[in-house]
Amino acid sequence: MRMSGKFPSGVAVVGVGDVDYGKLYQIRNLPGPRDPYEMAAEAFKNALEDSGLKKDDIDGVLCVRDIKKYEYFCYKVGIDKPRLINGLESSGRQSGIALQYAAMAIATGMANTVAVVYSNYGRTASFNYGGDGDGGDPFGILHGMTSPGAQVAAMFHRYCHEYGASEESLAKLAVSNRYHASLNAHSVMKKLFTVEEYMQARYITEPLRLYDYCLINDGAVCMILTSVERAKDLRKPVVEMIATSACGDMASSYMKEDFFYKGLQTVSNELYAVAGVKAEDMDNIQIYDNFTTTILFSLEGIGLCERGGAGDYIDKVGITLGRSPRPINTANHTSETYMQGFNHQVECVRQLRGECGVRQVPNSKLSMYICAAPIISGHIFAAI
Amino acid sequence: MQENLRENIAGLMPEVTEFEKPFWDCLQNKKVLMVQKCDDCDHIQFPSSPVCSKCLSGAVSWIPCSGKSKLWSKVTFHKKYLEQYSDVPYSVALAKLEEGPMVTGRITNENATAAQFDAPLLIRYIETADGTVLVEFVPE
Ligand SMILES: [Zn+2]
Repeated sequence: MRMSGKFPSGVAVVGVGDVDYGKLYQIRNLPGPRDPYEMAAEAFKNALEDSGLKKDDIDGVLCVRDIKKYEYFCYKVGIDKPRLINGLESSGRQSGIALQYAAMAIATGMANTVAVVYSNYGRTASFNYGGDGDGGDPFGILHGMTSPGAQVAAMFHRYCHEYGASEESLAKLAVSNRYHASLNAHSVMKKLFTVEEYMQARYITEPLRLYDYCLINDGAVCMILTSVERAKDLRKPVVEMIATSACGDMASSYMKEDFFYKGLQTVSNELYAVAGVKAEDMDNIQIYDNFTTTILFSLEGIGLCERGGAGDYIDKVGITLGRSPRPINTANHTSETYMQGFNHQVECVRQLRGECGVRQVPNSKLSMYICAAPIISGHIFAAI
Repeated sequence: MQENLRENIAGLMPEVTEFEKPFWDCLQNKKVLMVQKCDDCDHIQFPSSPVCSKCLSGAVSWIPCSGKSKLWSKVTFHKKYLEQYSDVPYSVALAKLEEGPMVTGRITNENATAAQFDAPLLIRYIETADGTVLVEFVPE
């Protein structure tokens, strides 16, 4: 438990900006990799426009992933004296953390208005995710064990053994993610498929199949945070970050023998305590899904069901818009876009503003983001 | 693929530090997988650390593991990630040593398919085409 302090208090997300992922995905035969700074600048402009702020209002910038040189990014968009400036490494666990750092800066006065900017050119730069052994221990790589996906496949295989789960649960998650993505004009993949078609798709790292995997696509996201007081004078309805929490889940590899359970419990219990709400109060939940499996683990870890009960929860309570009292992953990585948690966090904001059109969860007042990874993080946002 | 045909496995070797050299030398030359035991609190750990991760004692010794283990999980790769392992599908096993730590090693597709979770396994040491010694889990 925390020793002191009420945090976050009075921090709001006031601007969100991104790009048309589906359109970028369809453009082929580029002369070279897409420029990550160009995409980031577009997202930054869109977020500024969305917020109603002027560029000079931004006094903090946090750059994530492929805009590795934060000084270049600031130069390119003409921010020359930010009070808060730094960069975070490439992994998806950083997206929730980046928002936390922005909120901490605003709460402490280290910056008033922070732009968190993320860019990913993994597809046109042909990144071989996992090919360099990422996610495995050095001893495992020697023996052919590589990629976080394989580590998650090992966890899922064990999970099936311990709880009697089946691949059909993953199929339902993949199908639901695709349906939600089909309701978003900017998604990469919109063509619907069935549980049967999922089962016919090829294995990547058995027992995980193609549709369990995140996409690899280019894009960028910017989120602008400031105080709630300031937010009240800005363009859009105020979305407050009413709780945020994180907890490392440290081991010698990506694989966790408890399927991230204890860390997810720690983070979600703190979120509920700080916000004064419970899991069932959420109107929608956006779960980091580098693989569909992570959604199963997260549903249990955040307390929506018992351990091993995620498959039942999917069947009985539901996860899909129109069927579930709290749809899961109207934004996602397996069909919408792989912006490593940033697209999920943007979705929280848009759902609470009521901006999601045919994808809108009616009367969304509370939205949760949760990420199970070696740094587990989460937030609860509220429309105020 | 027969593991003794597998080439350039040494290309996947991590940079070996002075501290970890005894571990790799022992695996390579004596065909024994070593784990660490704390002289002060008996804690056993793998992969290695320069200190005991439980009590932070610097007095950690390398001890041979028995090879007795149980299957914790298994994965079959259908996508090629590494040139050394382009012979998909191939399988890996994650096994819990009787000493405690989890170790990832080779397993044949046949044994991976047949082995039940928590089934008892033993370690067999195999040599690849470039002479690198690897750990293979086989049914007890
Ligand atoms: Zn000790």
